[in-house]
Amino acid sequence: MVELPAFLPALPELFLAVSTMALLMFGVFGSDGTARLVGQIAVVVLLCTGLLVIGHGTERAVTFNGMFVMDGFGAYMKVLVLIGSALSIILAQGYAEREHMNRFELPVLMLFATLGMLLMVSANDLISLYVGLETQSLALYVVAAFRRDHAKSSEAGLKYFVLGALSSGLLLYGASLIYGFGGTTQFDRIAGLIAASPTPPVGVVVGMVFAVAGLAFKISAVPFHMWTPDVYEGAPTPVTAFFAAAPKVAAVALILRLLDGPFGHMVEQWSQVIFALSLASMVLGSFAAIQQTNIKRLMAYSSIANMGFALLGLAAGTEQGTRGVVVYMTIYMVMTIGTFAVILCMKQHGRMVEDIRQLAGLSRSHPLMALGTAIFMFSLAGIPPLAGFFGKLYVFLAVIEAAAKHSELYILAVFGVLSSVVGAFYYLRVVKLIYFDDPIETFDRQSDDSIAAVLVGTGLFTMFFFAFPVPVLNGAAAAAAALFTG
Amino acid sequence: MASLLAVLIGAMVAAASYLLLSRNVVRFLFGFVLLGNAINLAILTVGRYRGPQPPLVPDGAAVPTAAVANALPQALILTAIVIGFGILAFSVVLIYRAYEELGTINSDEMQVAEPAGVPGGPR
Amino acid sequence: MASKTAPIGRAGPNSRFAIFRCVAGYLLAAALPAALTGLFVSLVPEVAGGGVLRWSVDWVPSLGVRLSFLVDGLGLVFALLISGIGVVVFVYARAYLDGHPQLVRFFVVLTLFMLAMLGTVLADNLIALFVFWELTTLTSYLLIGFTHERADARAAALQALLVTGIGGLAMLAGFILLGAAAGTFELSQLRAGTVDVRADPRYLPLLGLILVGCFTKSAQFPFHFWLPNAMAAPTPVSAYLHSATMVKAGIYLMARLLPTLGGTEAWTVTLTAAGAVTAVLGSVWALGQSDLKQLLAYTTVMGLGTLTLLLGLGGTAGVVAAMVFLLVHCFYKAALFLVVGAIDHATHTRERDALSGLAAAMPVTFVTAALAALSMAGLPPLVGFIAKELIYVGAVEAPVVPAVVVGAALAANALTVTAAGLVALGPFLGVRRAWSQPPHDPPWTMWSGPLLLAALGVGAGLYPALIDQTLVAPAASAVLNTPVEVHLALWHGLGLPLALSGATLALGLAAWSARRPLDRALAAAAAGLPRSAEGVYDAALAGMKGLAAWQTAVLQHGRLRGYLATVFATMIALIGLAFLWGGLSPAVPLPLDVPLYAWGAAALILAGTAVTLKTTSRLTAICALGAVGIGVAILFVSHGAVDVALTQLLCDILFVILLAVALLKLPRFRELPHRGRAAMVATAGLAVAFGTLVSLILLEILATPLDLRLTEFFQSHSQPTAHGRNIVNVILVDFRAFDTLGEIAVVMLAGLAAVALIRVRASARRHQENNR
Repeated sequence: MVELPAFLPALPELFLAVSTMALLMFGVFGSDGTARLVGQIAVVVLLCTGLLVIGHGTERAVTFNGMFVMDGFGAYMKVLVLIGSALSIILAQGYAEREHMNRFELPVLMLFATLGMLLMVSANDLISLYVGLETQSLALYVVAAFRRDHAKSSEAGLKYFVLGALSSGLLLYGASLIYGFGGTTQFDRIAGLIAASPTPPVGVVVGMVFAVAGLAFKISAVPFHMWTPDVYEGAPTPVTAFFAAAPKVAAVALILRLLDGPFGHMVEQWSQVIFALSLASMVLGSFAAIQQTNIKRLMAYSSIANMGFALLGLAAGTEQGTRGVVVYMTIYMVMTIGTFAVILCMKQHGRMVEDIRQLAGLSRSHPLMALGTAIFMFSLAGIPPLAGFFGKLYVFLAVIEAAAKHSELYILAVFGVLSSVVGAFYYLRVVKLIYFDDPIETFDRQSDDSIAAVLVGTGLFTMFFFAFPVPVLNGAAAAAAALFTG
Repeated sequence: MASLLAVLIGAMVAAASYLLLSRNVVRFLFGFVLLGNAINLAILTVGRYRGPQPPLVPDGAAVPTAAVANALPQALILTAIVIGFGILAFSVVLIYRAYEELGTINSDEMQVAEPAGVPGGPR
Repeated sequence: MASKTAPIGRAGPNSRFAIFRCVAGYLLAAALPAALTGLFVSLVPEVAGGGVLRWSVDWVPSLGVRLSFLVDGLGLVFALLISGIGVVVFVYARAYLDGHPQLVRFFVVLTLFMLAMLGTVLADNLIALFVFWELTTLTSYLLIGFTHERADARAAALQALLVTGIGGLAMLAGFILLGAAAGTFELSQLRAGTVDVRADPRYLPLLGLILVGCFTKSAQFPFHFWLPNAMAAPTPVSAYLHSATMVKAGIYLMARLLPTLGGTEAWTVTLTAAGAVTAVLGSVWALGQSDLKQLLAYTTVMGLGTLTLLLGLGGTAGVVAAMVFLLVHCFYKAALFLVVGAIDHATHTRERDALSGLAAAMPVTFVTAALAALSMAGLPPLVGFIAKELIYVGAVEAPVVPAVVVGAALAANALTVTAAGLVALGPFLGVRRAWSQPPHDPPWTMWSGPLLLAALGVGAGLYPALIDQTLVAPAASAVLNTPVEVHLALWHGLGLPLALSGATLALGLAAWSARRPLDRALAAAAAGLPRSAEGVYDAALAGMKGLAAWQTAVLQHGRLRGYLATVFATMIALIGLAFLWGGLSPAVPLPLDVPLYAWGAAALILAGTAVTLKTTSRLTAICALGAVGIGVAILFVSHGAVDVALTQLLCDILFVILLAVALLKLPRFRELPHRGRAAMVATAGLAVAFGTLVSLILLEILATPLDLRLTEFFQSHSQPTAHGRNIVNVILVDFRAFDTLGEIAVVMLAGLAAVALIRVRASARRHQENNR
């Protein structure tokens, strides 16, 4: 036998995989009342996985014959993914009980999806990447269609599947082209081969384009975004929160690793693709949101625009840009989950409502919830000193710096600013509704402590990020450095 | 060999794309199957044609004695086939459930989220 | 216009707001601004002596971002104005809004605004400055909308927020460019001038962006429209934000950046032109207003235009004039706003036509108004006169078209004299009217502050030493970045400025005496003047909404097919782009090495594919797909991939069975409507194009030799290290064990997913039955 690969770097994944299987068994053979317990254990499992990730540290370690890599970048993004998943499962708990869809499958599938995301973040081989992506996607296809009794949910699941399956196909085809060029699917070797050839062969460029297109689906970058509004609206709200948070972080991490790693020497080529995706996402996401009256659809377009901003940093093609993206994703994830916690509080007579106009006059009936919403909206609009502003700031700083060499980046920056303005318009309209308009009908009293806790936690982060930005910024700087030196 | 396969794959992809663009989700599924087959063939093709000899090490030798086929793409295809089958099996269930729920397999009629004729979706 | 003094709902005596109703409430409200004023006054001697105080703390050490504050002459003048007028406004507002149910919230936001404003003028770091700048925008939004029962207040609040917020973003972009060009975000280092930003190729864009920020904030034409609309705010807010402090932030920034960015033709022309146009139009529009507050708002626009004009001139005379006029304007304008508030408070109206003869009923208010208006009109011995003289001194020395500049200043100042009369004399003199409630002076808390401000105008006029060496000289030195001596005096000697002052007064009085016909003429003229960017603002909002609707209709139509078509089209475009970069030289060797059975397999695949495309029978399609699978398996065999072929066959069979069982429950194809011919051709075109590109890329890749090192590695290591003779198996089990594990997980997950879907559906059905 070949000697056993070192398992230690993949310990968090292995732990998560084994625990998920065990939870699945527990759920299958347990009684009907186990669902809540499964959910609670799932959160604990994610917490332990996070501790294992942190425990491993930021040392770069490659294992499983070069197919799996663990480094500072992976550690940071994994912690982020785990936080996003854990918060989403917490949000899902109370919701599931209220809406009578309290099934143990939901947390288990979310754990599976998280496992896929961790594998994606650590992938060091095109096929491992594909496997991780499929693990994540399969679980997500189901949870999107999880809202029982709800035609929209089935439709969302189907549309997501159809587009997602196509995107996976594109990715796999791209991987085959890259293999056909280099005889390998392993990232480090691909990087070496590309660095050795004076101009990248067109086959590799096309392969890269296919791979990026496949990943663009997952972060819903325009024009691969069309599933997003339907799925956001159709899926159960905590699942939508999950969609908006963890998978986006994982996919962005994967794009960063792929483009800064194996394709690092093709920055001239991919930065143009990213340029186009970023521009289209920012503009379309911002403009399309204006018309929305359903707050979940609004968040869908908001996430499209946000991914455009994240890609803006990537388009800079520098380490500083990557750092900007990492900071951006951190802040984006917290704000998004907080906003969805608010949406989960939008309940009248025991029924969830999603119309933005129902928020009118919230400041008078629920002052704290109103304050939270206002903080998230101001932050999403990028108004200082809230966290969202700093996310945009670091990205813009990187772009302007890189623009000294690539002047076309100025165009991107200009469109970025313009779409921020448009974006600000609709976020602020929500604030105006909350504070200045007369209430139509008030929401039920919030009785779920866990949702309140998520709301307060994310709100405090968003509000006071400006005072304590150092942990996130240093973490992001170390993560970006790991990609560029590793 | 390679050029034949390249053209064949192109034809399969074109047919698959046509099926994927159909409004009948079952035909989409057929297209998806076809696309999966085409991609598997593509992986095989880019591994280069080295004759029909399977990649086996003969008894008593440490390395293959004759020119054998490229083993790595075969391993990759196996992974892809298995995953593809898993997803296919799932998709059949998904489509069936969607049909039960929505009463149609025509994706044009799946407009609950954004009803046709109402600009800007549900008001 | 309805006033806000009627209590909207008094809190009970035991409420937590009760504390605000006694003197302690006043002390509490004004304590912070008063303390800050004291602090800044104590700094005056040191700063006047040329000292610069700097305070700095690490903010983001890894990025080298520091939070640093700087107190120099310029910053101190602004800080004193902000905190000092803050005391007056806080005390006044406490009385003005007495009994308002959200008084606490009001004061919290007002205090936040004051701190943000102080941060703006004292920040040394451009990014920090921007953060504070936008905070003032944000808090002003909440303050303008404070009386949000009124729709106009809500709309005005949003408009002010959007216009100044957008300007702020442009400014941030300019800051980032400036930081990139100068290599620093610290103002103190920028002024040290190690890098001449003016020679940088990015100078013009960055100047333009920063000026957009300044012009929107300081209501310069054509962005001025939000300021009069913002008068929907409570009057103390208007006095504080829209005359004394916030709107001066743009002026502050232009003054602050004058040594770094100023002195160029672009700077001079832009600022002079914008300032002159704003000043003249502002004063013309002012006279057309029937609402006193609107009238004051437009004279504020005029004042801001004058300040911009003076900073555009850039020389010592211009800057000194700007600093003096800044102080003067704050004194009289804040006082006049508060006077209008008192009139509104007493009579419940601000309409000029409805007000006259109040002098006897409101003597203190009248005196205050008169003193402030005299300063505004620029009459000796008030400090306004000194300011006006200095403005003319600066205008005469203008580096570009001095005649036009002087003319603009003269016109604006003359009309301001008239406006001063309209505000200070109109409501108080003339016939006394019958009021349902006899008007009276407000309580001392509301008259003492404005009177003090107006008195400052007299004091500084009589004793210019009060301000020249202490405030004006240090501020001008800071703006010009060189020490400046300033000696202000009422008597400047005979000369052109004095003559111009005389002409101003004469013209202004003439306009005053002819105010009735003039009103009509101006109203007509104002209609013909260029309106402003407000139309653009409205059009932009409408355009945005239109664009949003368009995108939803065109892109987000809900039709899955269309989404997929978009994806294919995008991929075709992207691949085409890649070909453009890389060039294309596919080799198509004749397939001579193909064994006969492989030809057969290819034919089988093609036939199966064709049948799948054509047939309307599901069973036929499934069988045809099965045949394709068999063909693919044969091709695998032809490449020596026997294991793969077996797996393929197995999956193929399972797939046929699964589909046949499941799909037969679904409706038939032909029950579906056919797609139109054009759609069919378009779809086929997309599909063929995509397929062709896929073939081309494959041929391109096949034209180059493959790096087979990895394959050789597996071949040579499979038996010796892993003891396996089947290399594929060895790769799967040993070398790529990780993927194989993942693959198993995926299949398992697919099963779980399918079961979960079915169970959810089943439980839904149960639920429905239970409900029935």
